[in-house]
Amino acid sequence: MNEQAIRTGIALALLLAAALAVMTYGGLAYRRELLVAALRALVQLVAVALIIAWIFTHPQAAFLYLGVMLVVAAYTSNRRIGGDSRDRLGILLAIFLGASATVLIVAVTGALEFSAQSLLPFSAQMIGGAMTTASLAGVRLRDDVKDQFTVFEGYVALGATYRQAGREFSQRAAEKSLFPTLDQTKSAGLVTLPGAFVGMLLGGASPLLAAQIQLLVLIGLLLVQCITALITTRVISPLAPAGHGGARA
Amino acid sequence: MSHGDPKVHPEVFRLEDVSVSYGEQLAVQDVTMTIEARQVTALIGPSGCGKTTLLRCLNRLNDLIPEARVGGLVSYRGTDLYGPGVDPIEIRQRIGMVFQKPNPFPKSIRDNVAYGPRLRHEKADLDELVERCLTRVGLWDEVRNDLGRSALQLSGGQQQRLVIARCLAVDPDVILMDEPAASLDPIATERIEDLMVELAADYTIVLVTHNLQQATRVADHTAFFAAEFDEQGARRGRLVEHAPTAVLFEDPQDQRTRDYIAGRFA
Ligand SMILES: Nc1ncnc2c1ncn2[C@@H]1O[C@H](COP(=O)(O)OP(=O)(O)O)[C@@H](O)[C@H]1O
Ligand SMILES: [Mg+2]
Repeated sequence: MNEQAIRTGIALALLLAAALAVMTYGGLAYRRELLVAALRALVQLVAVALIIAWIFTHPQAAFLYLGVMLVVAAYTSNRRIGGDSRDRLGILLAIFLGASATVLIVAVTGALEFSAQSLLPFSAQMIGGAMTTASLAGVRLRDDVKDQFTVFEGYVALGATYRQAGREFSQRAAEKSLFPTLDQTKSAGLVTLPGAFVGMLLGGASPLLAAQIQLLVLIGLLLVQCITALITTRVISPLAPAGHGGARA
Repeated sequence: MSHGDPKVHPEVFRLEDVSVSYGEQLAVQDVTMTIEARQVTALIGPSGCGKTTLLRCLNRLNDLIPEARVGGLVSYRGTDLYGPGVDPIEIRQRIGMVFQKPNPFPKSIRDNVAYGPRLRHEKADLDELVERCLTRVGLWDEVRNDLGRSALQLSGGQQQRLVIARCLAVDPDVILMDEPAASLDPIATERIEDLMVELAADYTIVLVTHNLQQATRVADHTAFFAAEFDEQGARRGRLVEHAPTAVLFEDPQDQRTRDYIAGRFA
């Protein structure tokens, strides 16, 4: 243990104790949940830090790490949407293509150094963003189809397959799934200081370098999300599988 | 309006002991009837007796409802509609559907009519086809200068005629209509009724209606459905009788038909 870790530990303990004290004083419920959440974050982040530290010394393992992350992202997103295994494969593809297009541009231009140190966290953040978008876009598509089911039936009654009929709804669903990121990007630096920016400042980087990296993340996320939303809303079935309140071919 | 002569009007649909259930719940039971070509056949009866359910079997639109199960034989021009190897997509292009609530696509008037042909990659002169279909439903003169306008801006009656034009554009054999005038005012209703009679010259029409006057005005044949209750008190629809419209209304054979007609015309 170095001195920094000890100081961090003390600060964390105090922060947590203060939060619990405030909750008790204010009669707020969920103290247990707060404690559990904090402990989970502690365990998860320390574990991830150890894994990433190890990967930095074994860069080939970065691909394995990102691969696992990709699969977990597709699973998580597909569960949110309530899709089947075929949908999951489509979502995996959507997340992969969105994230890799972005990482490719950033790596090829040399904007980020070609090393596990910089590309791994960047890729991870892109996969995370793609996962959120895939969930939003997929849920949106199925909700829209459900809300306008008579219109959906109209396409099917003219001889459209379910997917062809669904495509009439995908544009709008993809667009709507971009709103949160557009808002976040527009307000960057005004309402909130985004995570990468804050992190880099805390880590001792110059504000201008921090801004550059933050911009790569924000604009990169826009590209990721456009690609992932477009693909997701086209490859997944517009209808929930039987047993999820809808039908499908 | 012409009356049914089986030799002149070959059968388009033959239903034998058709039952439809949603999960465990039987909606309509043991329907046996035939539907003849180029005639208007009306399905009437109280709400909930399975008219819509039965209609949606005729173009496999019930496939969209996972719990729906169809038993018995639904034969369309000699083909078992639920048999192996039957492509529901092809069936739906042959058997169009007009819904109770007009459901125009959120597209231009032109694109609504062109949707079906484009699905089939028809590159032939779509402008000409759009004009022909809109003319057939009496909408051309009203919209000829606004073909690019959103179909959502049309009135309810115009929307319903647009939906019919959209069906005609894929050159169907049969048009199924589920209470097509239920949401329309009397003038728009009359236009749709006139149109049905006129379309029956070229198409087979199956019309669900709760409006008995409408059935007498447009239908060559009428089938009356009623709800029955089993020992557990579960309701299911049954076909009570099916006859040329004039016969069904003037000389019904079943007491339930007589009561229903008397009640609704009173
Ligand atoms: N999607 C569905 N799921 C379950 N039950 C349904 C569904 N659609 C209709 N039903 C039931 O089937 C019966 C017949 O309904 P319907 O065919 O709509 O009758 P009608 O058109 O004669 O009013 C009703 O009891 C109705 O509640
Ligand atoms: Mg109905």
